Amino acid sequence: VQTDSKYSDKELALLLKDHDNHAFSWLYDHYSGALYGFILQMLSNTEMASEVLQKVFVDAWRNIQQYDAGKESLFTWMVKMAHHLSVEVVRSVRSKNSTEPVSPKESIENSTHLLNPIGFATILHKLNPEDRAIFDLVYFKGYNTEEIAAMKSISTVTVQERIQKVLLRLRELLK
Amino acid sequence: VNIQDYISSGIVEKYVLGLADAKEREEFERLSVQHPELDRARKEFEWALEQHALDNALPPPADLKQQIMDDIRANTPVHKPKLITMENGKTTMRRNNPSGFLVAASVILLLGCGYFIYHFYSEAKTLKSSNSELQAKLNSSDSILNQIVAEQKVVKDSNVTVVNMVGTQVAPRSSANVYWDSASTNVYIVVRNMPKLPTEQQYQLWALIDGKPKDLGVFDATDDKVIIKMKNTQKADAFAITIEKKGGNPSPTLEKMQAMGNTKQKL
Repeated sequence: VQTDSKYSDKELALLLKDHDNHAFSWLYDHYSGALYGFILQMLSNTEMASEVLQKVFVDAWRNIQQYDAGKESLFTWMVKMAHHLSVEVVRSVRSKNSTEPVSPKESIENSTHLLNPIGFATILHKLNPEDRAIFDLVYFKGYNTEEIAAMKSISTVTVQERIQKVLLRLRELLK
Repeated sequence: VNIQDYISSGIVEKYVLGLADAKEREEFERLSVQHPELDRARKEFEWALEQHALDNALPPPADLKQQIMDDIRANTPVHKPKLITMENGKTTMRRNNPSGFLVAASVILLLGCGYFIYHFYSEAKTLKSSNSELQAKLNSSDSILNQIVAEQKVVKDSNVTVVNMVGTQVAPRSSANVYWDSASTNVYIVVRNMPKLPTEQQYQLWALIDGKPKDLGVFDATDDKVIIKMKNTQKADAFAITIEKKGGNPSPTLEKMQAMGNTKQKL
């Protein structure tokens, strides 16, 4: 009924917690494109990305009672789900491919190589390549600090410092 | 903690992107309550991120929305929790204004109507589902009754020979009755007690004619107390049951013979 009205996060969350189909339909219309763009930059495969997107929305519907509007926005909540599910896919693809050994150097080069930077990745292109590579490994590829340190033969402290540097630049870049 | 230093440490971005660990999240949430500027910084970054994502949106496949809407309909609890929200502070009722009472009265009326509509709707839904449950029960009772009637008919027929299948040494507790109509050559079996078999195996019934076995078809132990029509035979000196692979074998595995019965005694 109210397809073009704008809900506040609070209103939307309350309606969703009451299993309101119209509110959910609005949520989909408003955020599906943004989330799909986000997922696609991580998976670069439309079929996998659609699957993840579907899971994000169905999970959001199921787990809406766990959403706390005081801690984060609905969009942040859903992006985190999309990120988490996409990292799982990236990791499972990686472990399937791990039978063919890839030298650490190669795998780093592959991971930083984004053919068509979209969404979030476009702003990351403004970072220096070394910092970007680290952030890409930790955020988009789901490696932990120790794994990255081993791959790049640097200390975990250096890895953490570089991640922090990127995080701080991110705020300016988004402005 | 100096809150400005904390804000410019990158923790806000780490928290929002989901890269903070449990300890960092807990600290962030605690400090957010104490320091409105931290909460504001978080909201600003979230807003910037959301705007960026909205600006870079890509249309998902067109049919995905319908799939998801169907999915969530299947995932909605039947009994909606009733939720009544109260906004604090924003709207204050003026005591001297009589229209306030009208507003309050109409809201109560509206809530009441809503409640009754919901109540009757869910009642109708419950009745509908219990109705279809009863229908299903009736159907299954009907089919059991038909089987009993069919069994009675066979049992009462004077042309029918009842053969009591007695368990062999391999399976002393197995028992079944074979009903053989010598006029129509029909053969039926009623399982009384046959042990359950693994899914890849079935029982097979044989007629023994001049010492040679004739395949009369396969059956399962799960067809307990139900009459099963087997293949016809004109002659039979005896019947035997063996365990065979699913679908049966062309000749019986005699060491797996479960039960046997002669056709001599006529009832």
